[in-house]
Amino acid sequence: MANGPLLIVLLALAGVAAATLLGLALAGFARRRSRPYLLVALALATLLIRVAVASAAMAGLLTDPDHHLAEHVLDVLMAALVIAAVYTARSVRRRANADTDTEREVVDDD
Amino acid sequence: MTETRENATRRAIHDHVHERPGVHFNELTRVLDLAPGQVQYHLKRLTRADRVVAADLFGRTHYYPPEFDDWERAALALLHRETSADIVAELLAAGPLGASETAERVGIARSTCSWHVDRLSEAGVVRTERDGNRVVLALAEPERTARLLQRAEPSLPERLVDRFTRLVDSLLAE
Repeated sequence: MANGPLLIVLLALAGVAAATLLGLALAGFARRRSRPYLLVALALATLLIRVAVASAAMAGLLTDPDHHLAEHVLDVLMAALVIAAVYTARSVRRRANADTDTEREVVDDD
Repeated sequence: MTETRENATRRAIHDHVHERPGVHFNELTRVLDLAPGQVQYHLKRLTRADRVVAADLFGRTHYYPPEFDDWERAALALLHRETSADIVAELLAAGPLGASETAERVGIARSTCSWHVDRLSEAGVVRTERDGNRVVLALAEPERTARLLQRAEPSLPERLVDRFTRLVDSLLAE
């Protein structure tokens, strides 16, 4: 493969960046313990899975069509998770206390 | 490991805890470039000798010099969070302030602000007072808090986690 070395460098960079982002997202979720944070973390996890899939393809463990399909499935998954995060952020509603203007998060029991 | 090297390692851990009171275990291993087992071993010896105090606060173990009292330990643990420190700094400079005004001045979503204020008031750093139907935030002990704020320097990972939650909150906010 002509682009072999370049591809390996790119994959390594993508792996480090995706792992850092996922680490931040998991730390954020550990702090907040809310559904939107979990969904954001899962969405960012798909970035890391992408790197794993690409590495598997490079190592010959995955055929090109399978690799292609997997990447697009992950795209759909990521978009769906972000949409779900945005959506649930709406149902983690802020209830302005009757006599205060500090809000507390209240999870809808929908 | 020779006796002197062991002493030097323990001294380095001891000094770092005194330099950065409220430091986390992970930061000690990272900054001093030591194996977790090594840090654990020395911290055990140091806490047994009362030269370092361990405190479990807000889900993590923090290490302090023995002269810090409970209030100071909790306050420092929170001031290691950049956003909490920003809120406290704003209250020091311009407080008492309304809750939404504080969020606006610090430049964070109201949900971010109230999450941090909840913990700061739980630790007795911030007092929330009602003024009609708005909440006013004030520092419970401004002088002590100002002194602690100078000693709390968030590490890079702490800053990044803080900024990540700020970003997510502002993206997902109303």
